[in-house]
Amino acid sequence: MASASPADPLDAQVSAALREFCAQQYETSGARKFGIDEADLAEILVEVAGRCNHTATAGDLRTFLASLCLEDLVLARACARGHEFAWETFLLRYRATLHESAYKIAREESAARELADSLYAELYGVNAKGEARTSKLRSYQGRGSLQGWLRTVLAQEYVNRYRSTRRETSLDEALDAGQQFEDMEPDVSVADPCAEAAATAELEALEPEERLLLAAYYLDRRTLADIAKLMGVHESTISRRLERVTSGLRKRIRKRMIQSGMSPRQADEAMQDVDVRDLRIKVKETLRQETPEGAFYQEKDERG
Amino acid sequence: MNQELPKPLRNALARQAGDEVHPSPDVLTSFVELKLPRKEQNLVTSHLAQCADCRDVVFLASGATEDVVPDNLELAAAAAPRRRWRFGLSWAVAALALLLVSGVLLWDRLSPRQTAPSIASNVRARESAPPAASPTPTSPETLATTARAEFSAPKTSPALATKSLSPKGVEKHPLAPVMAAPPAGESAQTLTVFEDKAELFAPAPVSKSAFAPNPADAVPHAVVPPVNPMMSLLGASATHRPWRVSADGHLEHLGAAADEWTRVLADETTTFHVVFVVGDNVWAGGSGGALFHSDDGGESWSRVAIATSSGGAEIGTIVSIRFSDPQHGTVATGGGSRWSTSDGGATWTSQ
Repeated sequence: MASASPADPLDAQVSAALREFCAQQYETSGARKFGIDEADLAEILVEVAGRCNHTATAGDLRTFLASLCLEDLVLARACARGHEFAWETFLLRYRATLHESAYKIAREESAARELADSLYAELYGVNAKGEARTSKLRSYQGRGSLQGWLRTVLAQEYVNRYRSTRRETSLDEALDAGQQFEDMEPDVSVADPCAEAAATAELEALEPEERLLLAAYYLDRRTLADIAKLMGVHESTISRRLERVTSGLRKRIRKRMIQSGMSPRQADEAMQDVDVRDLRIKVKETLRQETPEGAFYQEKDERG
Repeated sequence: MNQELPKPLRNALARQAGDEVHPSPDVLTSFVELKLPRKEQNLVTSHLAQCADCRDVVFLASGATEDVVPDNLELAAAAAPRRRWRFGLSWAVAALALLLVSGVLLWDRLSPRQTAPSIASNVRARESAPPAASPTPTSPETLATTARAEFSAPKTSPALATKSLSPKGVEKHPLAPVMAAPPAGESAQTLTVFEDKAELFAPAPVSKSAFAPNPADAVPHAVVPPVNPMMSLLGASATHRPWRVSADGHLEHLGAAADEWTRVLADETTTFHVVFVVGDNVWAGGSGGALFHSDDGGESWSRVAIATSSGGAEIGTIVSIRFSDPQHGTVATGGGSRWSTSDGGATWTSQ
C-alpha cells in the first residue's frame, strides 16, 4: 500500500514528528486490528494533514495530529478499504445511531429510512459498471468524531433533497394543501439606499459570530435554544448578545446615516421598520394619541 | 421575530452572498463539536453567516444530537413525538402535584370503614381513563402496603411497566428515562414505591423493526435520553436519578432535586464515553482504558484495570459497557477489543 514513503516530500523535522506520532499512537489507534500497518497509518495521516495544510512545521503537524479522532479515522479508512472486521465494528457502533440521527433530521420514518439507506449505499461505495468501489468514508478526515460526521453528511443530504424536492413541488398542489407563502425575498424597494449602505457597512464590521447570530435568528428564525446549542453557550447568553448586537447596530447605522448627511429625523425614519401598507394605520394611531383622552369627541357628543 | 430588525438591516443581512466553496463535512462537524482552531472557526462562522444551506446543515446536525432513542425501543415508538427530559420532568412534576391535591381531597372524603382499593387500579385508571375520572377513595395507611403488593405481582406488559413504574408513582412519557436492566431469567418486575429507591426489573423488551438496530444492540440496558448520542449514555440509577456523560466527556449524575447535573469523578483526567447502570452498580468508561465502578449507586468509586495477556492493562478507549446483571458484563474498546467478566469486574476475559 505504501509503495513510497508518505513522509518523503516532507521536511525532515516534520517527517520525524509524523513517525514519532505513528509509533506512539499505532497500537492505541486500533489500526492493527483493521489490517493497517504503521506505514499505511503514516500515509493516511500525511494525506489528511496535507489536505488541511498542517504540514508546514513539525509543531503544527503535532498539534493537528493530536486533535484528530484517530480511532475513528482508522476505522473509516479500514471500512473504505473493505476490511470486513472494520465494517462489523462500524455497523455495531454506528448503525443504530445513524438511523436515529436520520429520524431526528427527517422527522418522518420513511424519509428517515430513505435518507439512512442512501447514506449506507454511499458509505459502502457504489460498484456499478464494475468500477472500483469508492466509499464515502474515504473522505472522512477525522477532524470531528465519525458519528458527528455521519450526522453532518446526513444533514447535507437532507438539505440537498429538501431543496430539490421543494423546487419540484407544484405551486397548485401546495396551495390546494392550504400552504401559506410568505415573502422570502426582502422588499428592498422601500428601503432608503443610504440606510442600506450604512447597514451593509456596519454589518460587515461585525464579528463573524455576531453576523451568524443575526442571520440564524432573524433570517432562519432559529430559536435561541438552537443557536445556544450550536454555539455551546447558554440560551440567556445568546439572548443578551442578540440584544446587544441589534441595539448597537441600530445606533451605529443611525450615526453613520447622520454622518452621511441625513438629518436625525430622516435617519430615524429610514430606520423605521415599516411597510407602506402600515403607514396609514400608524399615522391614524398617532393622531388619536395626540387627542388627550378623546376629550374632543366626548365634548362634541355632550353638546350634540 | 423579523419585525424587530430594521428593514435596511434585514435587507443587508439577507443580501450577504455566500462563498462558492463550502466547508467540508469534516470541518462542519468540527465546528458543531467546537473543535476547530480559533482562526478556522472564524472562517467557518463567517461562511455560515452568509450561507443559508450550510447553516441548515449545521443546525440539523447539531439538533440531531438530542434525545437519543434507547436502542431497545422499536422505531414505531421512536416515531412518536419525543420530548426532552426536562419537558417530561415538568409533566411529571405537574402530575405529582395533581396527585397530591387529589390525595388531600380524598383524605377529606375518606371514611375509615371504606375498603382500601389497590393503588394500582388508580394508576391503571390514570393510564386508561381521562384524568377527570374520579378515583376510588383510598385509605392512606394502606396505600404503601397495597402498592408494594400490587407492583410486586408479575405483569406481562413491559410497556405498561415502563409507563406506570416511574419514581414515586409519577407517570412518565413512555420514552422517558426509566428503562431497566433485566436480570437474566427474571420474568417478574418488582418495584418498591414510597421509598427513596425504586428499582424496576422488567421482562426483556425484545421488539425490533426493520429500522431497529441489530440484535446485538437490542440487549436491554439502562438508557435515558442523553445530551450527545456519541458521548453519552444515561442510566436510571438505583436511586432513580439518571447518569450521563456530557458532550465534553464528564460523568454526571442528576441531583436529588432533579434540577442540576453534578459532576462525578471530577478529579479524573479521563474523557468519559459511556456509563451503564445495573441496580446499584454504576460503570463508567472512557479514554485510556479507564473503567470505574461503583457498587453503591455512585457514592464510592474504584478504578478497574483490565489486565491483558501480556501483563499490561487495556488502554483502548472504552466505548461500550453492557451488563446483563451485576456480575456478567462486557466492555468494548474503540480499537475493537472486547472483554467480558462474570464476577462483577474482578477478572476479565478477552473475547
